[in-house]
Amino acid sequence: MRDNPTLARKLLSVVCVALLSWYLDWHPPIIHDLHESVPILYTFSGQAPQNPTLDPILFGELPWFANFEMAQMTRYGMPGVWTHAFVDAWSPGYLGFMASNHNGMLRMYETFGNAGATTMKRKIEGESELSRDMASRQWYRPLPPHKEVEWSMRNNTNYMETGVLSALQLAAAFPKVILENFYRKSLNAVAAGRKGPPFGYVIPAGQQDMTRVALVVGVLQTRGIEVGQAATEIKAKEGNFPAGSFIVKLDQPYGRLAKILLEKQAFPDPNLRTYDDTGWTMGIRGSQSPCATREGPCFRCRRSTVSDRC
Amino acid sequence: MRFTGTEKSVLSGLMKNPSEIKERPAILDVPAGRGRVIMFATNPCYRWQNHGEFNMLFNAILNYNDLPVR
Repeated sequence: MRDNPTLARKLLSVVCVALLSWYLDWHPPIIHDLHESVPILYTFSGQAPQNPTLDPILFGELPWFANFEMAQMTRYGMPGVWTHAFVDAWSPGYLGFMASNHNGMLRMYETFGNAGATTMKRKIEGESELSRDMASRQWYRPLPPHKEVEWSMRNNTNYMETGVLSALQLAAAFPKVILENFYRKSLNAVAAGRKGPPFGYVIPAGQQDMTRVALVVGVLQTRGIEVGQAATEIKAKEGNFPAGSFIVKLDQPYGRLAKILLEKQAFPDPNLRTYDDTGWTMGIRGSQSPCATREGPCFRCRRSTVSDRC
Repeated sequence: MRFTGTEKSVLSGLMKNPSEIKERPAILDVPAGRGRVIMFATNPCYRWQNHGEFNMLFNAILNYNDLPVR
């Protein structure tokens, strides 16, 4: 399915919310995401910048699968399959990131596409800014494509299907590793939240515009993140927060995603490019930003889980 | 309206060389014929993401009649 990354990021489409709901019910360890933009098949390996809040295991899994798919398709004599050198792993935006944001893993391809069903002559380089230097041999593209090809949607589908079957072949060969990785990443997420700081975030009650707070809490809940509400005042080094304030503890399986959405983004290197870093710092959407707390014990206050969807 | 520029204007994420836009126009109100054109230097509804800027866009659309006559 072709996703819309920007909609997936903020769950602004009904389809994205339905898919996420399905994911959180069934927990498939891998989601596959098929796109069209560049020749001939780029398989997502997660180059820099990588989001350091996500589990390091993920950044081992991504090139593991990408390299296998490239090796298989190169073996089948399918030129123009490559890894790295395209999408970074900073933004949590693609639809497939629903899995990697929740301790699973994603596969994602970019393929050449076609303007219609007709077979046509296509130039590998020069059709768009994105396709510059796509016919060169590189360490990440050992079998470069021909400079000009007779291309149809059938070719495109063949490439995607062969890639997907290769990914399934690898998944079928190592099911226990993939499942154990999923378990380990979830366990690590809870441990990372206990290690802190921060140990969690407080979204203060009594803000001028609580509808904004409700929007943020609702997005967190829809993503499966547990949110609590303090029954008494919270006393922390960072300040005192009134009863009714929302608490997002990070020692939970999806605590890493909660941190990514609530913290201020500290982009690692301005010389690196990113696909997109717009609009997913959800915390600052409240009229008062959530407060990261360096004190775990402050969350021992009496609290209830927010069960109603905001 | 002008850009603040400088690192202080970056609430979160990446902005390359923010000082380059310091004091440069962010929103322009320009007379054109019998009307006015409100021009945004950035895309105020970029891929439905920058909700913080939506209010400025809708303010311009809904309250166009209240723009001062020049």
